[in-house]
Amino acid sequence: MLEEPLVKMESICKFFGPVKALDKVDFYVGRSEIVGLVGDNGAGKSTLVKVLSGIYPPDEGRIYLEGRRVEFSSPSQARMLGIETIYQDLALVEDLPIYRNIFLGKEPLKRFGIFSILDERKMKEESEKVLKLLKINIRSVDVPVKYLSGGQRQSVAIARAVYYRAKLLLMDEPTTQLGAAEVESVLELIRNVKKEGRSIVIISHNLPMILSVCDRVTVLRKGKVVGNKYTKDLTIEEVTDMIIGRGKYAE
Amino acid sequence: MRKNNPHLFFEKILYYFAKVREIGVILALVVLTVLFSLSVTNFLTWGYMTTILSYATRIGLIGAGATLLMASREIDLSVGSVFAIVPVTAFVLAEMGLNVWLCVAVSLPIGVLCGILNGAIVLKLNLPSFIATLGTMFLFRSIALVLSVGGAKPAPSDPTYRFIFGGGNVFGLNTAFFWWCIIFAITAIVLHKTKFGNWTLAVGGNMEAARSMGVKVERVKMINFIVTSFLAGLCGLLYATSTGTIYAVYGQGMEFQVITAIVLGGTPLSGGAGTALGTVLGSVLLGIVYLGTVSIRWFGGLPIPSAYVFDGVVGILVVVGMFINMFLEKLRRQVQGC
Repeated sequence: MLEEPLVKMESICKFFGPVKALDKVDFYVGRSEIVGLVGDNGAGKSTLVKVLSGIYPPDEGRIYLEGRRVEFSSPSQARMLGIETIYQDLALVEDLPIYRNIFLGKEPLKRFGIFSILDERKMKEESEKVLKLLKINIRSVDVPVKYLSGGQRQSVAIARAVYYRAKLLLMDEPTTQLGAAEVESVLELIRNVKKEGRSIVIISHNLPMILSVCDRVTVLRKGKVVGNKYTKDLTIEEVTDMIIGRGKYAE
Repeated sequence: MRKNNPHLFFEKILYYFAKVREIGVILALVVLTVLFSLSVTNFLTWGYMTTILSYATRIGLIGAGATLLMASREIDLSVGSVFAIVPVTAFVLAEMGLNVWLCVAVSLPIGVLCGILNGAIVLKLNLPSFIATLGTMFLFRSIALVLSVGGAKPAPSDPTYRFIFGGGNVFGLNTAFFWWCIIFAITAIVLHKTKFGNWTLAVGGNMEAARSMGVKVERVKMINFIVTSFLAGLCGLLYATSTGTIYAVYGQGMEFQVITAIVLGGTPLSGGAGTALGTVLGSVLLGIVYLGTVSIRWFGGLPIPSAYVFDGVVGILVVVGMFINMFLEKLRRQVQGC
């Protein structure tokens, strides 16, 4: 590794009572890199991502962001540092239009003396801009989110994160509820996000999808890292062997 | 990713039609106005209009706050009791010889206190607002009864006070109507054009999402409880002053009329969306139904109290109106999918 990675996690341990969910895990994400995090159920993928997103504080270990040691105890602290989680339920408000969702909690205002009202024009223009930047094709930012498909919702959530200058997007199973065409458009979007210089961590059981979109794959088994390879050197069989501990990866 | 793009002329019309959340109540207004003007002579006269509007004022003034509250996915059943408790306090104090403006200054904040209590029970004890305000509905009514010792209290006679607080008439319109106009304008702007309004809709639509985006969920709901209660108290004061008397039983059943006006107007009971204009139209609709049912000679003039008929017509309106709103929502889904 030549340059400083965006995020580096060193010997992270996390216990749940007597259960060691993460056992001295080392994990890193480079700049503009898409990393797949795979492993069987209970291997610790979700726990690792939750440590990184500020939901679980680690019991041991260190996290570095752009070379600086960071500690966060809540998702909002992680978000302030530029680490954004795209939740499966997406944290969108169904009845609000797209542009109001993108600016929820950070609404730009126009002041009239002591009163201030929403700057609707700015919200709409900026929303259109970010959708265009990521080549997201939605007819109008005026449409309430409830009328969007699953893939389009995913896109709005990602666009919101990108707009707020998230450096790292964490996505847990981003494509499970989507149809084939929608999966393709979300993957295209993820590649566009990478082109914008952001990094992404994807958790998924869908190995063909992981191999097609990720630059690198980190494999967890029983709370330990058992593999870390670039996808161009990998086959689905080899990843599967790593996940379940078979063949040359047998214990 | 495009399908159902409304290219066809017909689809385009449907699209604009369905986009208006208030379309259901507008249709009902037109149909009922036509029906009543055909069956009641002079229905479309200024005298009738002012009666309709003063009835609508009573519901719409409370509804202005309750729309915000319902948009944030809470409900207030205690508004009818707050409607009584504020004028009872004011008139009892006035009877004891307190300056009339001091009476106003003391009684209106009682509405605020009622709102704070409602909000605190819901937000601190985590009780559903339906239960919390059902309880305070009985509590506040009981306090109003105790304060007035069950009897009628006359409104203060100060002419300036009377004129401002609903006792006066301008062009045949009760001054309470002008209060309603101002308060409607404020709540409409707040709900649709301000950050607080956006937060209200977000809290009602998806509380956890709103919280995760930094919206102060509890504060939004608390303010909406307070505004609703305050307006219910103000409305009671205006109404009692206009009639010249307060009985502690005034406003019973009003909570359901307010809720009816709001949902007929297009604000869903489940929150997340809301329309201030819709509530105004829903209130006027109830006013029209009220006056219409009172004025018609039902069943060839049989001695049946019109109030019996009024409730029936409102009941039918609620069910039919909600069915139409549901249908319109389906239509919106079809034409707005993109």
